[in-house]
Amino acid sequence: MVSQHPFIFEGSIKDNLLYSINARREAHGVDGEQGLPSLDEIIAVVQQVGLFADILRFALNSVFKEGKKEHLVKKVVRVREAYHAGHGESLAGTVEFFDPTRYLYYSSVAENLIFGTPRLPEFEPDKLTGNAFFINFLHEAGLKMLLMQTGAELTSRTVDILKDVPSPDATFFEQTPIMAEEFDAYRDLAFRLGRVRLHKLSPDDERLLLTLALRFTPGIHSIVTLSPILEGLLLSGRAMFADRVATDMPGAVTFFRREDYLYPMTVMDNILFGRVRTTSPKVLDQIQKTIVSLLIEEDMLERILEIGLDFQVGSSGDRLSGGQRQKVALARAFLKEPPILILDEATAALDNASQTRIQNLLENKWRGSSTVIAVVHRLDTITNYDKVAVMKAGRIVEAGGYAELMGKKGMLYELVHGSAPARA
Amino acid sequence: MSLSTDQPQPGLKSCGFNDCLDILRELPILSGVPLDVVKVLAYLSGRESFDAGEALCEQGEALDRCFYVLSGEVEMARQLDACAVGLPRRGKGYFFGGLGLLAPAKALFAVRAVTDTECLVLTKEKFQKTAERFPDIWPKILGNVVGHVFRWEEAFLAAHAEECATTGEMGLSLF
Repeated sequence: MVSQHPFIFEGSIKDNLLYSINARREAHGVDGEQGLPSLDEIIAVVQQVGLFADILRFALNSVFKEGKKEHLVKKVVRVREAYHAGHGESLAGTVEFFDPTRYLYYSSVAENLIFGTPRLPEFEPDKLTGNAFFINFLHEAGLKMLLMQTGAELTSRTVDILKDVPSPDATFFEQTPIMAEEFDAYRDLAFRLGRVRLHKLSPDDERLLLTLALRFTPGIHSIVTLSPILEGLLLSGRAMFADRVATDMPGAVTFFRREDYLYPMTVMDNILFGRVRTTSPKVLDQIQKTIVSLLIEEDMLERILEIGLDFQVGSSGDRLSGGQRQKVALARAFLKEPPILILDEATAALDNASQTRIQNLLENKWRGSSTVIAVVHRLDTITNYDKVAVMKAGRIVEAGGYAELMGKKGMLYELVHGSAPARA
Repeated sequence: MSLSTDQPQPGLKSCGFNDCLDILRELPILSGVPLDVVKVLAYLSGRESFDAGEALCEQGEALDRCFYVLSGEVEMARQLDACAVGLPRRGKGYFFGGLGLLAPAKALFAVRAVTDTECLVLTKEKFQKTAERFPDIWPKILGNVVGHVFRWEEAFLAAHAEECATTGEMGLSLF
């Protein structure tokens, strides 16, 4: 049975998919691999219920621990190379690749300077203003005052635009590096900036300005434009920072290098080796499709999907959406291939396309092999059922074939058309 | 030394905030709306790129964004039964979708990029959130829409006087 709010337990997607089969195996005293579906069978069902793209996304968003999955890591780097060789040019407008000689407009100033992934917590972007080594570097690179000036400009612009907006929600903070909960502090700072010169600000105010400047991402925060002068200095600073780290704090940062796997980053980021410039679902879907075809070419798709199947769904599946939980429950039921399948509003949380897919599956794959009993409120899904029963106040008031009941122009007709038939 | 300017950056096809503000201030639909509110709308607007052939909006789909063409060219088409009726192409400076910001509406036309096109885009969600916070702008915007309807019909009646008299299909301004 699949209900509207199906039972999903803490564990992986795979654990949840195999729950019914394992219960049956246990009841029959079966152990080992006997009775378990193959990976191909699991993938086939996952595709049928429309969960494939979700599982692939979980896999591509996975982060590997250093020293683990070494064989896979090498293959991911190979996929990266194939991706860049085959699609780098056409994607240049969509993806900003990690190129040490170019500024990344869709990455923050901090990410542009560090140009790698931190291995020490004090080099995480939000910790940098408290990192004496980093602040000293900014000072010696001639960047500290310039960044404070950028921070001051971001503060003034944001406060000028948003100061009179009553109760601004998160939408109003998507295009500024100031977060909603920080706005009051920056409004006060904007007031002080009108009275105190930058070099006379308190250390706390300096930190506030640097925080904004280091978050500044020109491709997103278009209220302020990054000048060519600062851009050039930041690029020089990137090289200087790498030298400093190599000399004084080796190993503090894993720098972006085309031939290395970046352990703190996701599989997707490792393949892309850059930042996507857009949030357009169409473009992201196209990128994902390209990556899938490359994973197939490298004979990696199954291995990657296995990683996605290991995704931990959280307590009662709270890391999944309502639609994903229903898809997992449907896939679980389909894998078991029960003689009777009861669906109680089992597709209510799915979008129209997914509902149609499941309906087609029931009408084609399951017809003749299992009995499907479905409780539904959406009446466009019932036309091909062998028998329809209309219930009212807990009692069946009408039953028969769909065409037969519609011909009678009774309760079902009334429900479908929203009114009783006109009487002559 | 000023570190920030509103000059576009070479690696970033930018429509800076000030450019965006200038564009919105000139839009007839926002005429008379206070500068502070137009500033918020300019800030919430974003730039989007469309490849040649790509749809900015499809006929029959919810019209939930307005577009201002920054560069490139778009064409409108309306599908009538089995045949598509092409309409004139528009280029830089063309604005459409403003009515969709005000209330639920479905596009009567498909709009496609003829060449690679850059647009300034404001979503209905962001417009509505701003308008909720500044309800005083509604009478201004309503006045601009009504004024546009009257002007449009007056021009239409002048150009198609005989046709209108024959079919009797006129009088949108009498709504």
